[in-house]
Amino acid sequence: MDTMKYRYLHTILAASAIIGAISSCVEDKGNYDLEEINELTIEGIEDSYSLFSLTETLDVTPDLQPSVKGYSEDNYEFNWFVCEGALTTDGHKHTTISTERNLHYPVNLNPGNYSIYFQVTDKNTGVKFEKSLTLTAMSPLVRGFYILGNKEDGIAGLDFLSMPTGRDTSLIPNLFVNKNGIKGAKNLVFTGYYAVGNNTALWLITEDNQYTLDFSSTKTEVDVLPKNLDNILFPTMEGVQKPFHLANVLPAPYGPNCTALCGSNRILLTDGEAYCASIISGEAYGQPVTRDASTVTANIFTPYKVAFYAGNSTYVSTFFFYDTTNNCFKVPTGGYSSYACTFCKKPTDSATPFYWDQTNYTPVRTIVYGENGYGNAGRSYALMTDGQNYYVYGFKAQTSATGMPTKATASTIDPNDAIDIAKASHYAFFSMQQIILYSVGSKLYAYDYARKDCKMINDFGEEITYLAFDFHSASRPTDLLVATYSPAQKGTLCKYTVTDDINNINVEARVDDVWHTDLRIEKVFWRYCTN
Amino acid sequence: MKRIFLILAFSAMAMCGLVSCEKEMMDYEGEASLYFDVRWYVSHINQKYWPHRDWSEATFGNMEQNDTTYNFKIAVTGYPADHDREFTVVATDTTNAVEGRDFTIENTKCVIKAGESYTYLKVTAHRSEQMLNDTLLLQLKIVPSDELTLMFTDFKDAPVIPSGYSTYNDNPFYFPGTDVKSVNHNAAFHSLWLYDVPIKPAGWYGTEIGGIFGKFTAKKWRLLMEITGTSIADFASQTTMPSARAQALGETFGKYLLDMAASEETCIVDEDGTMMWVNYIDTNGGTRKWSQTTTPYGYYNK
Repeated sequence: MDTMKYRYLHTILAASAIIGAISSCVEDKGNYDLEEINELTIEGIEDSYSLFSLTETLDVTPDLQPSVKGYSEDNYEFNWFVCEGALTTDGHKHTTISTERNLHYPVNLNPGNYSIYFQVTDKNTGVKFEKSLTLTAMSPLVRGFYILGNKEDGIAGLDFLSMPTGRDTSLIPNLFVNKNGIKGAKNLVFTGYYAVGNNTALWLITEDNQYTLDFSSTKTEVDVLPKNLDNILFPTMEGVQKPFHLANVLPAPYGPNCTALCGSNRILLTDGEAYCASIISGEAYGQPVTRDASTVTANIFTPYKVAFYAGNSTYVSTFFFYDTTNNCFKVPTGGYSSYACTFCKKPTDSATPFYWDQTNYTPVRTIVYGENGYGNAGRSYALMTDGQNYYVYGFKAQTSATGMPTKATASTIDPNDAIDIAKASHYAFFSMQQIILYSVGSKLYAYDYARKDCKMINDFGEEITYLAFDFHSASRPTDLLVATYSPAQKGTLCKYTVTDDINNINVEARVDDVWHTDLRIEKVFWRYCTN
Repeated sequence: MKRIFLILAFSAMAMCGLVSCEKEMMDYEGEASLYFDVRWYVSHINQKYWPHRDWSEATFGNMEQNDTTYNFKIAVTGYPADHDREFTVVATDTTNAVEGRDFTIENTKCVIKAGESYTYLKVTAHRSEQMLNDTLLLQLKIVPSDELTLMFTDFKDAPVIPSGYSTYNDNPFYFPGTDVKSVNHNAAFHSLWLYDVPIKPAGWYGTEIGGIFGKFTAKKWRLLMEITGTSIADFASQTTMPSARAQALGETFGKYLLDMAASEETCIVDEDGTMMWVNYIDTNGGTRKWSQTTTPYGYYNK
């Protein structure tokens, strides 16, 4: 038995050794009968594309050039994917957007820059070939005009006149979803982009209420946000007008980029008062500053809905009000800056060229309209009346918290010279010259109050619903916006150019700048905001 | 032949030897022991790293509601069991709060269910008049059972002082108002302190040396809320009470204090005997103003 096992073992070991020896001696001569594999060159793809997200489509038709002539494209698998996030972060991911040869991709990305890869896999060899492109996804809502108005049934609506740089202008209707059926839109205020805090806001003001709207440029439809005045206004003085009703938020954003004229402070005007505050730690206001002393029992005055400051400034540190209760211009005081003021007082006054205190006149003059202009070094204007004549005051806001505004001009307008000015519903001061534009029904007039020259610019045949100069969108103080409405034509917005000419009134229609909407336009507001 | 078998035998032994190097872990063989697993620390630290704290507090002075409910976690060591395990929790003789009036233990009988390793004891604290001038105590104690023991008699996971808490007065691991550090000696106990004394809320702007409201006292806070129509919730944070709002409230309250100080009979005196003060007294009091340390005697006899 032992002998037998021994023999088997020997046999197995010997056989293994022989097999091992034989196999180790076989020479591997290799295979030099090489077969060409297909290489692929991808062309026909630009390095970069710029398109609007949500509204435009990326179409790419690659040119595939195989190295093997006649190589069928059936041998390929295609994959287009978006590469998001830095390679070094956990958020890095690939999202396949197409497995077709040619890309037809409705851009559905938040605004930003993306890398898109076209990957072709040769099914025969498994070899992958790639080509990438950069897609800049732009929002059509970053740059343009908000157009606020009301529809036929009175429901508030918001359109956006998209004016992206280097692209065609287009109207995006019905941006505001308005699920609550808010009616009676009267005004729209965009605070512009503020660097400090999360205080950018888009306020929709109706006849008896106000709402903050979502201003995100990444959404094609927006609705009301929860923020409201009761969350930010905390006055305790008796005599404060409640419920609060927003009139304005200042300083308004400036220029094509909607620059914040003061990123850390804000003036908020209601129908009854004005409030100032630092908004660095959040937007909250205490007592109104439109009072005549810093005490809690002081008299409160109602300000005109515009705070005056130099309209050509790129930073506003101080301003002043018109007191409609006592008919007097008032300057803020009591703080290191006007935003920190606690009350207001009358400026130093004299009769030349006009009184700040309108009660010095008999009859007392009251304010009709006021605005901050760009021309004449940021001169502000007020249209006053004593019930008979009209008066234009030109003046310049103070530049420091302890300074006083300075008067520039005072002109008297005889209503017999300025046609139907007493019936006007909208006004706009041309800041480059002494010209005021106003509308009466369907008619647009311009009146040079220096030369006492009145001119009807146009009879639109339909009611003028909005009139204002637009300096900000193109840094042109000569651009005039006019909106009209009729039940048949609905809303029309058009632009005019007012010539900066001291001797003539020349207002030219810009035939290419006419846009139509279903809205009866109440307000047009320039927006530039990448948020 | 014999040599071959020896080689094979040694190889087998070597393989067995290698296999035997695999270490076999011992199962937990300790007791199933109960402990209060109530923790507290700073929010930016993951809660699983929070140290234990052997007390909680019902601060009715800073609450709107009259009842507040606590769910105290009680955990057990060892593996989860395949059956429910019951135990009870009682109030000890040290307790001076009164059951029903000051608190209710909702479930004195607790159950750690099969497959689980913790449960909760639900206790509701009730506001009572006795808490206005006194601090009441509910001391809870776990009663062990046949299969659940109590072995953590010296827990000692006293934490370091969290960032932002510099003194024992505001260190949440010191017993309130004392310099005695609260180290969880016996995890079978948990204390619930009940009191109706307001403590300075986050939305209070002021200190002994100034600020909008000046030093905090419960009396001043209650009167401020009464005069200005505000609530405890309004002072809960600096979000609900931004400084602009505080300044406006201070104006109204300051005007009230000035009016009341028109005569010594109506003058509002704070808890420490000084005339109640907010900064509006300084800014708008004119010749009638006073400081935080002014007493009525000094003010009316100057």
